[in-house]
Amino acid sequence: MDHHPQSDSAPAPTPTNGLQPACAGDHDPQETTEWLEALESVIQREGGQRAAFLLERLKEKAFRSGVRFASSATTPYINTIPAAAEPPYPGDREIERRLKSIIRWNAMATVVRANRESPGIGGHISSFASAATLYEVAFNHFLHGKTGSYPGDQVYFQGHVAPGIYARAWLLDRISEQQLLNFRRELQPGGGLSSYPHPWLMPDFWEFPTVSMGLGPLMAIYQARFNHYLVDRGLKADAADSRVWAFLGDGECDEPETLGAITLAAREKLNNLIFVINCNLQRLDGPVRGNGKIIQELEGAFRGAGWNVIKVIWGSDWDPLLEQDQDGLLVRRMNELVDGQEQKYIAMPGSYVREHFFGADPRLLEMAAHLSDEQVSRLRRGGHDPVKVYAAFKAAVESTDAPTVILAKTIKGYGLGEAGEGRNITHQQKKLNEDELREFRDRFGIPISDEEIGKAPLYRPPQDSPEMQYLRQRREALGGVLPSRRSPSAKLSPPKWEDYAEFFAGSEGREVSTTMAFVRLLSRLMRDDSVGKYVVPIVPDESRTFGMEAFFRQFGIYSHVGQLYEPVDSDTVLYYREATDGQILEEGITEAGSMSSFIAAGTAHSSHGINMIPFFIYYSMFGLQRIGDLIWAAGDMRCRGFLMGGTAGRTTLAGEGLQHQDGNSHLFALAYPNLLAYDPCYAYETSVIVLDGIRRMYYEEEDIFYYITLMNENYEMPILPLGSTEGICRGMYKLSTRDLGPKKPKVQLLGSGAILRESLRAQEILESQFGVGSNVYSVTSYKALLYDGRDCQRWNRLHPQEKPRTAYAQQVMQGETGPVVAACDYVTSVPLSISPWVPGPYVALGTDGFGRSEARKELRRFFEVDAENIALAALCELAAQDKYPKSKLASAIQKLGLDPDKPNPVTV
Amino acid sequence: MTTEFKLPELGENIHSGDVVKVLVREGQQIAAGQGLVELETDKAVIEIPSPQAGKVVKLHVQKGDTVKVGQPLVSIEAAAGAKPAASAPPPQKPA
Ligand SMILES: Cc1ncc(C[n+]2csc(CCOP(=O)(O)OP(=O)(O)O)c2C)c(N)n1
Ligand SMILES: [Mg+2]
Repeated sequence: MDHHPQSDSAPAPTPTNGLQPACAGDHDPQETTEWLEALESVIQREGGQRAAFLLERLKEKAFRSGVRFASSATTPYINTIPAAAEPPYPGDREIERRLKSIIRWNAMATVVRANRESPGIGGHISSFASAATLYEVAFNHFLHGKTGSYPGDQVYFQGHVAPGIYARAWLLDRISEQQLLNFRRELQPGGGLSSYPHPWLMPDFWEFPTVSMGLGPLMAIYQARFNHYLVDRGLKADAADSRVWAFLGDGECDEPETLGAITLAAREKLNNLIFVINCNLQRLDGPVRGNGKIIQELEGAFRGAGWNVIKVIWGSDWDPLLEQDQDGLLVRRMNELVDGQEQKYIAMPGSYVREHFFGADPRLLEMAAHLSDEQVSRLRRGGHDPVKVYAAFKAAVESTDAPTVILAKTIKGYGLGEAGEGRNITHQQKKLNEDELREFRDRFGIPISDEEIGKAPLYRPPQDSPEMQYLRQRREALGGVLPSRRSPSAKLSPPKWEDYAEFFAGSEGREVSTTMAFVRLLSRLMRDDSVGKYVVPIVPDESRTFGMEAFFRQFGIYSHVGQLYEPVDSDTVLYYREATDGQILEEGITEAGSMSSFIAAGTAHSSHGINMIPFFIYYSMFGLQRIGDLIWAAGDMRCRGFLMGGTAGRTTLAGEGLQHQDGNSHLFALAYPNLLAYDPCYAYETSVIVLDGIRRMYYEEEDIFYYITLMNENYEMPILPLGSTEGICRGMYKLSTRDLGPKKPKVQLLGSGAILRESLRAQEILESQFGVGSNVYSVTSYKALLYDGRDCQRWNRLHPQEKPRTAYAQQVMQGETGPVVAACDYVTSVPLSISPWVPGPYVALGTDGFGRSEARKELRRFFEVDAENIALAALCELAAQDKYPKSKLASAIQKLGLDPDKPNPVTV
Repeated sequence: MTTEFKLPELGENIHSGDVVKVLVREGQQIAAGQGLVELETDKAVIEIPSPQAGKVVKLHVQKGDTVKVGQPLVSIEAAAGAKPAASAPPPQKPA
């Protein structure tokens, strides 16, 4: 006997939460019928809207009378748009079907051939196979290109359907046959195609990297919101006319990023946003919800969040059956079926479906009696029916007050037959034998001969064929091809340094932090005539932490609806001001969401032709460590802007402890190719880096972005030393020299961030207590030095005959000898990364280990990065070179007050 | 009419600040909302906006001073027709 997991009706559970069970048994069918008839007559006479109103009133009345029942956020397992309400299909269905078949074939052949060419390389066939109708209806009727009167839609394609998108682009001559055959072989002669959407690799084609599951839908939400921001701030009037489409998988919805921001989309009434979720009920390993129903689960989540939900579950073949279903038997059967079971029906013959699905009730069997087994097995899913898909898309683009999600049921591996249709292995299927190719060809009617079929050739109809003409016409009518990424020049004139003199002038005795100095710089930049209005400050609920509360009144917090309440602090200068044209994006506690806003703003040069300057200011520990994948995507997208890691430094953020004290981010930053990373100590350094960054990104239009750490330790800020700006930008400069003459030993001390001041103090100690001279260098960026050093090294390796190049670190320390002692507030791997370019023996002190709650002084002693530990490291290295007596080291330890038996901080 | 503008309530938990920059001169015509001084508190630098348009007739503070809430900052002679406000410009009323 078979196990239909829900086909036996289980006894209703006793309510334990005060709620009535929603489907208690029917004790009085007579009464039920009367109620249903009453409802039916309202619908007949006065329409659905009136019926819905009465149902709402009934619910309210019941609730007020103490009947506690929660009606579920889901609707029956049938299409949201009834067949009777479907609009007529505007396209030529036959030509569209043929085109779709050709694209299906070429997408499949691309993968099969790539895999034959070099086993191990391949791609995905079955995902596009399931989604082809969704994309083709969208391409032929909805997705706007960027030419003509259209601002262009922003489309997030599901990453691993790339073969289908390429197959279409090849038909349209956007990529060559050679490129298509070099799918996933980008380094081949003639060029190839990247596996997935990557603007870095195909900058004229792809706009949005989506293949790290969950990032696409998340970024799409914030993109749609940012488009409204541009309109509300008067920066681009038609920005919200672009529709943001995100195509994603049902399995992808398990990523917290996918669903994590959907309430924002509804709250902000993002009617310019459409999610299309391809519900093929399968992910990589098997069913998404074998024991449940993913479409129902997603419907509940999205509707609960306030979205407009459109389910496209059944194809037109089911319409007559559903029409016959007067007593709701068929719908109930559909409701109770779990996804794992439904998947089984795909792989089994029609007779099995008849027996097990319709066979659950003789009346259902009767309903399907007129269908042959073949017809039963071909009863289509909604996502494969262009009419149903068109109706859903049309409703979505007409939504006025909410984002829309379309839940389209499809079959994974559609058309692959035995080779993978609905099979659990289908996700990774990339080998089709000759028989399977023939079956695929026959099913979709591709004109390829039996002799040729084994080679899986690409097929393109003649350019003047009706298909090709139709294909081109449809795109022309919709404003051009897609995807397509532009990189228009949107140069801004950079701020004039003269206007910023005060930021290089030092704090004149006052003790301030680099955070305060930066916030002041930011506020000045926001009032700059040339760049001010393009600045987008983004904060995840930390404005007060960073002393930015003055921004609230001055620049306003962006809110589409303005401020609907009188703020509790309205009688103060710094009251909480929300405004429609507010400039600040106060995102609430979401680093991932804030980063998505950063990406939307930082790519506006390409997506909207405006160079926006986002500054995302956050707790540095919750940046690269927490949302590194989004930052990676930002790099891929050639995003520009400033990531400002506030409250940075393992020992500089006092008190907060293990989870907050960041000694890691500069290590992670090393890996991001186009991210520049700086750990400045002084306000003038920060100012130089920011101003130079604006020039490089927004005037030179370099595809780079910045990570700069900010600290909250207060100390006096000195004046910008003459001639240091180049060094500040390139990674290091000499700050202070104590030359005690040729007889005295000398060391080189590298300091960065707040720990630079410990290096300076060590300089004093070495001189006054041990008669050792030193140079102190401020290292603003180990990463800059590392990338430069490696580049020189590589060039020298490849050009042995030519005059060797000297790395910048070597240039700055030219003529000096070691030892060299570096100290910083990050793990030692960061300073150690530049060892090859440091003269003489090199020791790095860093903050490896878990942070803990303490004050700065104690933390620096604990992690052994304070002046005393730096001095000891210098003396030990000198002793190793016989420049300082070894016999005096023990007494030096004592003199410095260090404890030789203290445990290694990385172990405790 | 000349009014003495006193340092208003800045925000919850902020009671005083140091003047880091004076943004106006005596005799200068100013607009409502224009910055008068920049004050630095423990963590933040705050620009104090003028509550009204008019002429600055006297500066009561200079760079480096510590100013407490309630202490006079500047005296402003109201522009013709301008009404002095009690404190900062009020937020827009709820819609
Ligand atoms: C963050 C992340 N984890 C894992 C993967 C690997 N991966 C690629 S596709 C896939 C399954 C996708 O299933 P679904 O979202 O349902 O898409 P379908 O192919 O079924 O349309 C997985 C696990 C990935 N690309 N990104
Ligand atoms: Mg899936």
